[in-house]
Amino acid sequence: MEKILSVYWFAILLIVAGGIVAMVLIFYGKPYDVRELEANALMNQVADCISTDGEMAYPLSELETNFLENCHINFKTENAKNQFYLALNFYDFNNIGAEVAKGFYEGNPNLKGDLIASSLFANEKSFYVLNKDGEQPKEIVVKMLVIIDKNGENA
Amino acid sequence: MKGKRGQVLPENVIFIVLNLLFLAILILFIYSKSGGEAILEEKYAKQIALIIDSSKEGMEIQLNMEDAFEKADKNNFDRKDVVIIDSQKNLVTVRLREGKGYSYGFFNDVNLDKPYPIDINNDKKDDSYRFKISGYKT
Repeated sequence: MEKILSVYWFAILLIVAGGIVAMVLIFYGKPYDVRELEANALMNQVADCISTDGEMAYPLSELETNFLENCHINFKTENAKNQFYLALNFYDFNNIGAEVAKGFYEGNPNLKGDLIASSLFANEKSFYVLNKDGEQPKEIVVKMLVIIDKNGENA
Repeated sequence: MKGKRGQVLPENVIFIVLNLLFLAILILFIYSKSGGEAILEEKYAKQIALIIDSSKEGMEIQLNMEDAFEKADKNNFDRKDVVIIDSQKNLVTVRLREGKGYSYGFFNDVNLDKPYPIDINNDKKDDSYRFKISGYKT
């Protein structure tokens, strides 16, 4: 009976149980963070929309007009409102840093300002595309920045 | 001492039984937490929303949801009501019991046919859900 009633043994059991319960609650209490996958899906959709077989699908000057509608992206629904920020910039492939056209953004621009202070998710990617719009084909690098809030559901 | 039969002390038996009981309770706790309805609802709502975000017009998706269906059956919840997609609000809702369930939004502006459970294994029991992207809204 000494072993069963040993205070030390029960203390060890309680510490082990408490540790495991705390770990499980911390692990399963947090929501799955899927913002990285969501950002990748969004960037793939944008890239597919802008580029067809490696060439610009729309003239660069007209890209901004109805961009979200043309790319079948909806940031206006109740749950998506103010949750996304998407910025596009266009650089010369042979002279990175030199913009070939004015960049533009969609979604909530305030997220860019909040990026450092809060736990928003941000991801940046770029891809190469050939613009045959002008007299001479031009090689362009399109840089995409996506910021997703959705903190309550993911963090 | 040779030839003397060994004895199992009752306190040793009780000690081992108590330890096993403790271990069993811990395992049950972890199992209940990892496979709970709330976790599955969230997992599938997000998974379906991401699938829709990555899909294109005309695609048909079949997603295995056996574990979710088992939970729904336990709660006497109709499998046909497990996944609800609101194409107007771009929202996926998964429910495995009476209540609000878990909802997650998708940005891909598509229309979907009404999703429904299907039997892929041919065991006369629905094991998956079928989604069809009927077209783009714009």
